Amino acid sequence: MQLTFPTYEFVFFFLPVVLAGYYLTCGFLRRQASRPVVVGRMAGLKPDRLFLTGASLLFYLSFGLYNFLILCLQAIIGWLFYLLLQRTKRPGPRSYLMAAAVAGVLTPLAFFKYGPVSMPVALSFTTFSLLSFLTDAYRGEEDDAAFGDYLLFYFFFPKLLQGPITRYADFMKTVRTPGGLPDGNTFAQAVFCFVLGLSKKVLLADRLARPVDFAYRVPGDLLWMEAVLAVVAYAFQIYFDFSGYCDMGRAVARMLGYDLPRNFRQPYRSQNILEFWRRWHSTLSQFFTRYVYIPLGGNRKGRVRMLAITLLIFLLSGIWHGSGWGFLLWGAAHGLLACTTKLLPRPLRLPRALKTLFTFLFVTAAWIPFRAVDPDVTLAMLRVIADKPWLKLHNAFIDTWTDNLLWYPLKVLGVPDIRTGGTICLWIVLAVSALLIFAAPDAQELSERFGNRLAARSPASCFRVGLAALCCAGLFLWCVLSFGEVSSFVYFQF
Amino acid sequence: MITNDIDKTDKRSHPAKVFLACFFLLSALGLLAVSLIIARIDPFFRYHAPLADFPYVVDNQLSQNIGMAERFGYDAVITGSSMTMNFDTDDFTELLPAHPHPLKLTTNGALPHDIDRILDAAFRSGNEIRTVFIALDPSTWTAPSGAVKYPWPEYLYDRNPFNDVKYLWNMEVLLEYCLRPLAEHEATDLSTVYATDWEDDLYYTLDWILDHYEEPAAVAVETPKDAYLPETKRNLEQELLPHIDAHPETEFCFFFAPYSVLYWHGVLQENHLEATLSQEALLAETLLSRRNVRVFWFQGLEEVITDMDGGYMDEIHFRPAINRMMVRFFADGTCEIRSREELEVRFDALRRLLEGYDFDALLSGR
Repeated sequence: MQLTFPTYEFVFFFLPVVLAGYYLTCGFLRRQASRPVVVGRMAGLKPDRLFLTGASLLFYLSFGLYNFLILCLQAIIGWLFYLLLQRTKRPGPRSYLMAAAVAGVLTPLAFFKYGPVSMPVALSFTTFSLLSFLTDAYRGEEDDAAFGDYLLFYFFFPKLLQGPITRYADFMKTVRTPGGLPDGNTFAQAVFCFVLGLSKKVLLADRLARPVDFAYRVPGDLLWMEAVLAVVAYAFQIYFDFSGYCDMGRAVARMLGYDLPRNFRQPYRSQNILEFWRRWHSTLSQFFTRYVYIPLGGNRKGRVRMLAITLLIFLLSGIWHGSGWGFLLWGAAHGLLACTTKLLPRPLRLPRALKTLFTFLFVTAAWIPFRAVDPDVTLAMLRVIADKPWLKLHNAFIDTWTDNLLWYPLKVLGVPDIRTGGTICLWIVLAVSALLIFAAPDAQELSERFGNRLAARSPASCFRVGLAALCCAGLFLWCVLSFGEVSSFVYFQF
Repeated sequence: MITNDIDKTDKRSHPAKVFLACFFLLSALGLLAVSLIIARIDPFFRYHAPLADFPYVVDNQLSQNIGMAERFGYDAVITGSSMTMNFDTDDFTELLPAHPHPLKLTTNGALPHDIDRILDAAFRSGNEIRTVFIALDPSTWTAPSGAVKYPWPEYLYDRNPFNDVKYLWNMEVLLEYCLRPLAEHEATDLSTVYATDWEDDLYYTLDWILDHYEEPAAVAVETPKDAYLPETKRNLEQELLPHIDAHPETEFCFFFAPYSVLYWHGVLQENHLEATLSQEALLAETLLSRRNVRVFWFQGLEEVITDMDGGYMDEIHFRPAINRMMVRFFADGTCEIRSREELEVRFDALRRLLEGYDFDALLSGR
């Protein structure tokens, strides 16, 4: 049993138990005037944080003892390096120590990512969190970390599996008050956001995954239209999958009184690739900017160097995502366009819609090697797309879009056969996805607006809020009933 | 005054509470309603016997077999691999009058442990089972201990009530097995449940078979004669013999289905004919050592297994008419073997047939 968010076990057991336990602990703390309980000499472990750390460890234990032990080992190694950095004051040894720390933290990631052994879930994310923590410590920006807080930062379950990648200092800012709990409005807003994130994952990403998996399994047999639809569907799928996870993670954190940074800001509406990376997985971009781009000189040491660092960062990003050359190609493509964009003396004078369309098409095309990983699959896919446009679709491809919940009403409405029904399902799913991506506010914006409505506290808003509850309950019910066929998250593998 | 009114309104309104109360209440009611519908209809027969007036759809072997075995009323069981799926239980009723209520529990590709679980459930049901018909597929009897062909949905079989949510809150169960049958009113005919709809003559042709046939590569080194025996013996002792010994009142009727000559061509190519035959001999001999066992060997039916243009749709899957023929033979004892010696004689006949068969001519139909 793996406790990913869209599972019966997480939603109906783990989350309620953790919330209840945490709220009881916080209530107790309030009554006790929040006196910290000191465990050992080095760590000021507070019961609420201790509870959450324990819950997070249990959460990760559900992914297997092997994974758990590896992450624990990495956490301990990280902490030992931190202690050594704190005790080493001379700059020379300190820099050697930092180099050893980087090597010590990155080696397991490289071993598991490129070696014959399967990589523990979340290792990519914990490695970057740890690198950020140790670098900040090396720079003297983080010198009062307590072991208990560090463990919570490392294992905090709402962000453990897929980020966002946070800095220790930023994370701790939100937890300075022991026993601090969210108010009713924040909690309601978090529930609202969780349901929206869950819907993105279960109702959209997983639905889009079926034709995508089908297409990338048999790329050579695809017709032109099928390949194009599959490529676009993957662009939508990975967005809903990853951003849905982040919405849920952020919502769960808020239920616990913590605030995680926003990782997505409607990235497919970007007008150039640089803007895209400010909106897509933004904490990864921030990580690279802070710990690679700026230390290597950034834009302070001439244009050539700036472009080289930019390209390097995108290649590193590709390598971080996986070992296949498809990831490298993906990183290189993004890097080259980013460099080209930086070389432009001024933004292109084109209609905004055209720039958005170009950026989306580029990002969508770049996902092909990323999804395919195997160069043969990439080439097969590109070959079909480069072929003469043809609008025909195979029945087997249409079948992957057919959704009973959509097909049955269509049948009742008189749609003659399942082929037509499947085709209608295809366009409904794509149209809804496109609408949500390009025209509607995203889950974070919606939940912020919803929070404002809650704060208004007027009878009119009560009615609207009741209506929102009805919609949310409907979506939640639909999601829960679909848990039986939910796949794992795309970003689990990275 | 106005300010005071606003203040009063503010104090009375708690949108967050309204939202949370409505959300949790509606969600709980929705989930409860779905649970009640599924538990009442119980399409996988987890909680009760089928409702008399509900048109059940039965098409999911892994999810429905165990429930059927535990909740249905029957006096004979037909189980095993896809070799059993085209049996019509009405044939059993007609030709074997001692079994008026047989139940078919096919599991495609069934490994010994799959059969063991089906038999466990059947004998747990409290039905008075007179005969169990089981297909013996030699290739499955070397499976690792406890292996199953496809993962079973354990939540349907264990005693843990909490994981029943996977059944009770399941969109597919609700739509496909509860609401669709209500709309379509087409109940599955249990006498032909799991049967293929391959009646179309298109599939029962040599052209079709050869189009989909991949000839195994020739293997130079012959598989040792005893290569399959240890695993087969272990599987027999772990998965099958305990049932036979625990239920002396039940007759166990095993049969080796009539695989086509093309199957045997593959065996010859892979060079394990003698190993396969000695495995079959071990199976038959061990089973025949029990008093309540009968064994039928249909693999030597020359007219059947050489009828490649009309009798089969691939190397092993035959027309439903052959299933009816086997039921007839169960009734009159044709092809029944009673000793290893008798089986060895039939093996010799098969060897001669394969030796003299013109496989090149068969395969040249490509």
